[in-house]
Amino acid sequence: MRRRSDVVWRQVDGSIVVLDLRTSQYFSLNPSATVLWQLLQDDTDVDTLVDALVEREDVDRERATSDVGAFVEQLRSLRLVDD
Amino acid sequence: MTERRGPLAPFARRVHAAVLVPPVLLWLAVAEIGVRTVRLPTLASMMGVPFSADPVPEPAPSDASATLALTRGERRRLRVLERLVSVWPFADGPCLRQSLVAGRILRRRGPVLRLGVALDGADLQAHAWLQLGAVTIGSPAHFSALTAG
Repeated sequence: MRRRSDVVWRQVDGSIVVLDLRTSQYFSLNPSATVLWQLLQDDTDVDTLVDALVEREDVDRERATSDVGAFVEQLRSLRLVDD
Repeated sequence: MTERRGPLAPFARRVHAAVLVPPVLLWLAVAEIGVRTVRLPTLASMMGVPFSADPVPEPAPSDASATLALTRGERRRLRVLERLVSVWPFADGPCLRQSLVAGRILRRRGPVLRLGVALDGADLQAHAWLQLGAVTIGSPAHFSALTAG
């Protein structure tokens, strides 16, 4: 899974602001999601995202798995990533 | 540069307006319809000002007038555009339409369209401007350019 190529973004004040160029819709990601979003520049799997969240945000694995699952599901529903 | 003023200046201004307003208005209408119906990168390319998500060259002066030697025709068209945009009723923040049409006017100089964002508390603000090499037109300093990387 990775970010779609027709999505542009910027980190502003700790948050990520994303613009989908197909729909001209803006999205704002919270600081935890920022870690995950940056990893999605390259082809990445869910386990890698969970590992990163555990390491960088100091959360337990169960919580990280849940958060990553919800995040990925949201990105897919918004069609911001390609599988 | 100041332009010569004489007794015929008001008449000349009306003639210029009559000649310059219709095409600028037409392109503003194209931009207005386009932003509602066409993907932005496609629209921008159609208007001669492709969207760029490349990293912004540094440093980027915020005021183009000191470094861009615009022709008289370009200045006049940009002034007409500014006047039309100031009364444009179809968008609250018409910077995107203005940038697209300004890019059209300056297309021979190879401008690209930039989009940027800023957070004002929880409010997201978006802005559009032109970039010609290291020169930017219409770029408030507090907006950060969106990039693909």
